[in-house]
Amino acid sequence: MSPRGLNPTLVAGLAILGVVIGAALFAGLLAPYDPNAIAPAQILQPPSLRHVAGTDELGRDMFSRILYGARPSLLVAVAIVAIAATGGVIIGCASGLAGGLADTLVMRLVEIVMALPGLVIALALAAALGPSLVNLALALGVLGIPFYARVARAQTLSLRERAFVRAARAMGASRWFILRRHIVPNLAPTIVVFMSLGLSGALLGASALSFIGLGAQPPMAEWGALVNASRSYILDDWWYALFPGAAVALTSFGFTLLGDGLRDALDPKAGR
Amino acid sequence: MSGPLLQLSGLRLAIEGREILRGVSLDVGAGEIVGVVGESGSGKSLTALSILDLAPPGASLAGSIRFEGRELVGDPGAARRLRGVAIGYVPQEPMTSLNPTLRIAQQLTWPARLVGGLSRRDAHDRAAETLRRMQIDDPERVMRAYPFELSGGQRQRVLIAQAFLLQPKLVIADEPTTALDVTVQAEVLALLQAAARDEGAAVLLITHNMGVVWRVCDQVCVMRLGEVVERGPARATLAAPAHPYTRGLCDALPERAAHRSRILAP
Repeated sequence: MSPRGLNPTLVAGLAILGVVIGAALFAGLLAPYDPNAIAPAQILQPPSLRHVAGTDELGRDMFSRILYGARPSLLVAVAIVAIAATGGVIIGCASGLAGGLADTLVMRLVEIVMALPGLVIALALAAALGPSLVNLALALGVLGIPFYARVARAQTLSLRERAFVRAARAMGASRWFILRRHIVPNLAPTIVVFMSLGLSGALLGASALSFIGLGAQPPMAEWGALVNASRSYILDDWWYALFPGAAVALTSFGFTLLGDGLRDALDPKAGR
Repeated sequence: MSGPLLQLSGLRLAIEGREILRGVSLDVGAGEIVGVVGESGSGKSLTALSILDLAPPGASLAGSIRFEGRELVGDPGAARRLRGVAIGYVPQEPMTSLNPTLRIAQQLTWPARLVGGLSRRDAHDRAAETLRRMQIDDPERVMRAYPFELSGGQRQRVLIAQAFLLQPKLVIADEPTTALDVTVQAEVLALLQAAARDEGAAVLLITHNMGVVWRVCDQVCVMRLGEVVERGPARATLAAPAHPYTRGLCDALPERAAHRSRILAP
């Protein structure tokens, strides 16, 4: 895996995400208002110079709320993907290396989980655990594990037949050593691409669950929750739903570009 | 020590009922270089892998493999404990036998550290020393490199150094020069031969190149269809092959015509 430089897709993805992550990090400096400050005189104002994204039904500045909302939205997406990838890589590699009956059983289980409608199960899990961002991340993270497990297993099956793994076994390497030093580093590029593409889905899933009230709870500014709060006003006050929705869409787009760009940059077969 | 270092007798290997090795017998004496030759599919590589208990899953092994008098067949733990320490291994493909994501230093020193129990420093120093003996001028630079920065010949030297690092009694080299071009082949063979002589290690050299056998081997063992058809002192056997198959292999050599007079002359 030698670096093939930056491609336009990757640059565009990094630029979009740079803006979003910058907004999340520096929300305290950038936001013109306290995101939770209520202003009864400024209820449901359309976008203006004072409130560039308008205000909500309590007079809170939407621009400030969207900036602050980037924090929980991004954190949850990252947590979901981290849980899914870590669990999936461990299960997939172990299953692929073990082989035989254990491998068969694990993979059938993985397929069963994959056959379940993800969002519905996540909804049930989040409802059962109680609505909170942490439970939401857990539910969506666990449901993402099978996808990573399948990819990691497939890679493990091909990697373990590679000459350097055979040579290492002949020189006395243990399975654990082979897993740590030979399998995981060599499947990292694939998993990284999968993760950055998965971030987009995780963000959308988390926003969707927050939208139906199973994630962030008021008064927390989180993008899905903001869109949810805007539902009652969507016919009269277009800006209320538009800007948080656009934030979700833009960020999701950024993750997708990042994933595509990374895939092209890391794929040894692509390019030239 | 009485008896050979490695003794295979009547080794049989079947994979899913198909018999691949049909009673292979061969001896490797201490410090001896023994060539195993034969066409593709004759069972040379599987013989080598069986010694290390690395035959593919589903293979069943019968017969006897004795290393320093100790029986390995039916005792998989015994073979596993010999790997890397008492028996070194040089793989066939230098281009793909090194992990692309690890620096040479890590790949070279791990058997010494994990299997041999050396400290990081000692392993590093010994690796540098061994690389120097493999005629790598700047071992520290090579050890910092990733495999893609090295040529095929350099990689094969790294792999040979790895095999000899813990001063094994036996090195199994599975066609170590097949993937290299001819001039590098000669260098690598000379290094292998010198390392074996200096360390007093025996080498089981798997090859399909009769020229290689002629040049470096003490003993030769000719295999065909999972059987040893002829074995004996290398040069005497090649100069006057008794078995028609050996004769066929020798006559198939392109160099044979040119060297015939020299090889056959008394």
